[in-house]
Amino acid sequence: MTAALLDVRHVSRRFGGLKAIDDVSFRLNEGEIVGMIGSNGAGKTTLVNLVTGHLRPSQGEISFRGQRITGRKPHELASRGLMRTFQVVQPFNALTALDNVAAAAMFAGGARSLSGAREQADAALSSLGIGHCRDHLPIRMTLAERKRLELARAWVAKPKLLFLDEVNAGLNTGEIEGVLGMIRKIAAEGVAIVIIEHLMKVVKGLCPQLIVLHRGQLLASGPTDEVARNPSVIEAYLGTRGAAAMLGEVR
Amino acid sequence: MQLAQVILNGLLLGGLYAAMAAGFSLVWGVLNIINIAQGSAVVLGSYVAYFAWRYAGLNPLLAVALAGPLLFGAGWVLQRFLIQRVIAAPVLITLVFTFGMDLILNNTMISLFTADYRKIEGVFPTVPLHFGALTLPVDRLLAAAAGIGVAFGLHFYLHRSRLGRAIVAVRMDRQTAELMGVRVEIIYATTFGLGLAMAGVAGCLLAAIFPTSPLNSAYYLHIAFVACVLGGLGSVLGAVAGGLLLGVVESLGALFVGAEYGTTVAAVVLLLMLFTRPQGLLGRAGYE
Amino acid sequence: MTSRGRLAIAIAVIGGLACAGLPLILAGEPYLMRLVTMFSLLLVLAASWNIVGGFTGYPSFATGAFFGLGAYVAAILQAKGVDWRLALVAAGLAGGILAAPVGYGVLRLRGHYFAVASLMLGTILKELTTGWSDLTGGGMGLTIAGAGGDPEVLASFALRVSLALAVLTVLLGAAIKWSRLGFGLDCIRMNETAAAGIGVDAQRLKTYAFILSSIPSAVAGAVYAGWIGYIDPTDVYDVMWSVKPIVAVLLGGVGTILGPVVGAAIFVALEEIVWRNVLSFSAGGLGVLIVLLLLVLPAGVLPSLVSRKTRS
Repeated sequence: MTAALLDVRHVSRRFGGLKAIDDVSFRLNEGEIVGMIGSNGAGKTTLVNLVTGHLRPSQGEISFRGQRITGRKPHELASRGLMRTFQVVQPFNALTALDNVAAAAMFAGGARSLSGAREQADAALSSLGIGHCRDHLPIRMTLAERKRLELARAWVAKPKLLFLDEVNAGLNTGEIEGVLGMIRKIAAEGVAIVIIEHLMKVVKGLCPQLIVLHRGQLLASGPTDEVARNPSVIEAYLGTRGAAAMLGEVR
Repeated sequence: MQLAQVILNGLLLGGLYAAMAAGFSLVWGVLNIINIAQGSAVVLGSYVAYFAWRYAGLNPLLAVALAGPLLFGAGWVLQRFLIQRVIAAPVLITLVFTFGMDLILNNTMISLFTADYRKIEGVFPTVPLHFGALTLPVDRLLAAAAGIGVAFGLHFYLHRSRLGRAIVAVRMDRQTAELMGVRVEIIYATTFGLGLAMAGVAGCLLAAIFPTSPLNSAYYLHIAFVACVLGGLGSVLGAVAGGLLLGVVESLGALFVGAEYGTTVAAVVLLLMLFTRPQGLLGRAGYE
Repeated sequence: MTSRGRLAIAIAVIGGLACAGLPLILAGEPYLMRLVTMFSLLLVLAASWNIVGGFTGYPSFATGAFFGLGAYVAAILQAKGVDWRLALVAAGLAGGILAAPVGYGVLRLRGHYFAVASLMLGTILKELTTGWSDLTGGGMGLTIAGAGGDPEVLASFALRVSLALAVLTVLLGAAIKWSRLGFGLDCIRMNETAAAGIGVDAQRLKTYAFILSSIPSAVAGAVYAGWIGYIDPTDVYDVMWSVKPIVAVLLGGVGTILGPVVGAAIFVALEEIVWRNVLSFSAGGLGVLIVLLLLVLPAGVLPSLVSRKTRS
């Protein structure tokens, strides 16, 4: 068995008395595209925070590229190629789109000079279809453009693994299609991607593999069709109307 | 036995600190403002007590009924018409703003009353009570009891009265409270008024025991802040717990390190608390 | 040449000319010399505060602590016969050495917690200085022996040193702002979580900023001590040394390179014009200025201070 890109082993996280993540284990290989689904409060974002160093696990171990990274800081993981986007976009509001991306190229991507970082940033913006925004402040960009800005920022950091936390939240169908195209473009360079999503519709076309979280626990993982037919997944989701509909689209 | 006496002294001191910290904590928790002028407001309360005693022979513990409403009114007006205008600004701005208010108040008091220390005398019996080997000065006992009593009064006011519950609601979720028809500006003004009223009350109690001077204000501010963070932000009972703890820490520090290093000892305890349990003894983490 | 390069050269040239020319022009004008020296020292403190408070967005009230520390280190060394130049260097080193661990710890705190923790640093140093009276003279203060010479020579000397220090500090600010460090500090100020997410080692960069800010402040204290000739804890650890620089930067423009220069000039002018006439109310006058400034120009004074505090 080859070493996994990411190996999460028996990770738990408690907040006071609440177990937000309870003994979750999974592995990811290089270049893999995985969907992570679960209802609100299932622990998706907490799990991303744990893996990317924004939170410390109460228990368990995490390895990335064969090295133990449990308890490492986010900036260090970013420099090692483990990047994420945030559910709520987090741009640097007083920097232009270009410099937002250039900052990532410089600090996580290892660009030597500001001009070099800006060149990379410019290319990334154009390639993600927001070249026209390069001199705009984030506040003047639409939500869809800002989502792409976050993608660009993650991309220029040359990640090995990228977590996309509800990157489509708040976008309309057309915009989602556009962003999905960008994600395919990034994946085509061999970047492993984990897409955290509410909508099964989004992940099913994109992700061959699926991870399902429910109340902090790993309910199922594996090939997307299999997981969607898993009785416990269906049972867990039947409680909520929206989720039932969401699974229906796969079956 | 000496240790027991020192801890008792600390608790008596802590009762006063509790009153000082309660109002400061309330304002910080609800308005997300640190009121740097809180120390000077305490001194102002002390002056009310001092002059009421000097010219009317009023007992400083009763001067609470004078200083409380007076400072409440002052605080209400200050918040409603001045501080409200910068309340949404970054921390730096609100801090510097209340710092400016503090400079004005403090310098005005120095100009009017000079920096001389003034002491209320002859009100309380000088013979202390004795419990076994423990000594209890009457004035300190009364003042500490009053301090804790008033802090508890504030706590019950916040949780039982209509206005008090509106304040708590605003602290927990300003936007929802607004939607429910709570007028946030009025709540803010009332809260700031209560904060200053508590400072005034604490000032009266302090004046019963210690000499009064505007030079004390920085120290009082420091006490209020440390007690408030030790106990946990935004909770009145937390401020009481923090005040008592700080009183004991200071007394023990004076015994083992030296009274002249009071701030340093308290600061070290505070920093340890901030790094290990940032939410304080009783509070929740949250506001920055 | 880039506009940045031109600005840096302009600062260096104008500053150099001021350092060389002003002592000559002002010779025989002790009042003006005192005024310009005060301006320069305030500018040093304002420009160094700006590195932490402006560039990084951490509301530090520790400037006075480093100022006082520098004053005492230099005074004690000079009392032991150390050359003044060495004493200035030692003061700066002491500031930086203290700032490293303090910054590393305190910069984990944010907002109000950071502000008050930084404010307490000065109180603690004041207590320790007063308590360690064998070395510091305690509350009685210290007289700097080297200052016993001709007052006019001393005044001219203090003017030149403080001007030079001010120019260097402004240039330091420019160098930081335009460097990789400054870019990182920008990101930290705007959104520390996102900064960490793109690989910015916030803890390290903040600590660097804190150290770089403390060094000129400490040297300014050393210059002040040599200039005044006598220091005591209540004077050099006065919280005003922390507040005045902040007000100056608010006046001139937070996070900008020339803001501290403009602000310090306005501040010293106001202080002289207004408060000379009401000496007993000088602190209160500053309070009035602060309140008016923030009420009249609530947004205007902080164009680059982006980090809004979050309110739920």
